Amino acid sequence: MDILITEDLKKYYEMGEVTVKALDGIDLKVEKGEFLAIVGTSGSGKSTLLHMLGGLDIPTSGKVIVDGKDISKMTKDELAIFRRRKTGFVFQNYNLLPLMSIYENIVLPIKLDGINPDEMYIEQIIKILGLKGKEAMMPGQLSGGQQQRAALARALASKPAIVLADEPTGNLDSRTSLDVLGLIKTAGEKFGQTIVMITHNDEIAQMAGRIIRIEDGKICRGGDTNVKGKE
Amino acid sequence: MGESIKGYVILVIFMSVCCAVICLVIKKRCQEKMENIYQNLLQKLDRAVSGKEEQEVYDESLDAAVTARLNRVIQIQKMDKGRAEKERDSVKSLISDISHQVRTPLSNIMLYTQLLSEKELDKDISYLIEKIHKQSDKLDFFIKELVKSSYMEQEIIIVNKEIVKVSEIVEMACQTVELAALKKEIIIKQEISVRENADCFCYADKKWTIEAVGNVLENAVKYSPPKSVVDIKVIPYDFFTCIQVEDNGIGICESEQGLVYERFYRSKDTKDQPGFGIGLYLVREILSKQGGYSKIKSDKGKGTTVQIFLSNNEY
Repeated sequence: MDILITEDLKKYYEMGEVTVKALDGIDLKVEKGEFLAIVGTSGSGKSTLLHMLGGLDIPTSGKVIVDGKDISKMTKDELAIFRRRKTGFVFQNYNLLPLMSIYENIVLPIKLDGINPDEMYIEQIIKILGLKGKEAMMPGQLSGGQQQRAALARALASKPAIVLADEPTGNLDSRTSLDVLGLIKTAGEKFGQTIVMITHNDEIAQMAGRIIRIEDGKICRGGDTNVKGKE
Repeated sequence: MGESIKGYVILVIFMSVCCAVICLVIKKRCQEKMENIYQNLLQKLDRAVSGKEEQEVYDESLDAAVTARLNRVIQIQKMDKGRAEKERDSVKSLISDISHQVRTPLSNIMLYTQLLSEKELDKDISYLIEKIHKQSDKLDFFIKELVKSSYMEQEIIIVNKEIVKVSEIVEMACQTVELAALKKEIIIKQEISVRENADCFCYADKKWTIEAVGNVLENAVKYSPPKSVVDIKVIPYDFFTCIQVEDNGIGICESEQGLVYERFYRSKDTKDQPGFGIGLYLVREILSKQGGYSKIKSDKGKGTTVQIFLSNNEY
């Protein structure tokens, strides 16, 4: 089953006289449980695509269908709730709230939904991501790798169907990157999540089950669902 | 007269304000109650999603009825799963029976040909014996592959994670390819890191992990030129332990590096080597079932490095 589908997705920016085509007709299908890497140089449109998939940006034309729903037709309020329940974001610069403890940061998206967090599940995530004993600390007291793991825990906490990661290891050294990415991959498999990660690093992209390359707003390789998906 | 009307009006206003307040309080109470019910229900559903049955209470409440239904759903799901498992087990034993029963006569054939070839015979007959020998070797290989492909039936790989010594896995996996390596005079070199990290432990299923590392080594031997060296290394990380196998073989071009883990995928450069494209698929399946993963670095024509990451924790 395809959890993410884009149909002829376009995003144009008007810059005075010129039209910048950030995305120029993207057709993409992502299978449930897949780990997909989007690779491209800066300015290729990969971040724009990720933002579209997560409902952070509105396309000029085309469709983004997540779990059978066309999110390009949702209202602002619907989109906010969609993001909170269906997607988890991991950013390059962690984006943890500095005045909240690690635990508070992790359960924030659930609390925003007015739901009591599933303590057992949170406990499990904290354990898997090696944050045990660090729950009460402030983000500033942790290393970069630990902060990124906390951000990942937050992304996983609301049990989202899709985890969107924007250069998740961009600020980490290669050794820590390996650990964090390994955790993204294995946690995703464990909780049956679909992961879409963008990166410009080929070696990091190798972790993914499928790699697509974007150039000038178009997919130049790997757009079809992979062999496994066709069965 | 005017006084009493005024008093009456005040009383009415007072009463209606009271009514409104009471209504609001009741409404709020109801809302809270509803919210509580939904919260409870959500938690119940969460537990049901993770497959846990609830304690059933036998009373007339709707809550108890919901619980009973939920438990029913879980039970049905478990029953289906049990049935599937049973079916899988019978397929598994059938396959292992068949392969066993075919391999016994086959190894007999191989043995008799061997014995025959040791006799003094004329040239024509030895030539034919040589042919029989080659063909039975091939058959033997394909039966092994057949057994391997039977593992691909999704649920046949069941891993039991336990604490294992990484160096032991490396050791055992090396043994599985010893013969093939000897034939091609390839040296499988265990780097110092294997010994240095001898007391490095991780959580994995021993039997299947050996199979996975063995598959990677098998590929390394298969696609390396004779008399070359295959390096095997252990690198400990915080959350994972990496077993790295490096060869000087034919390499994999970039566009194929993601594809080699797909089942039945075979690079066009490997057509002269026997195989079905199962080995690396199995590696990926085995590792992902035990919380690990695998990664490939390769330069076409220069060699391939395969990294196997095993989880350092038990969840």
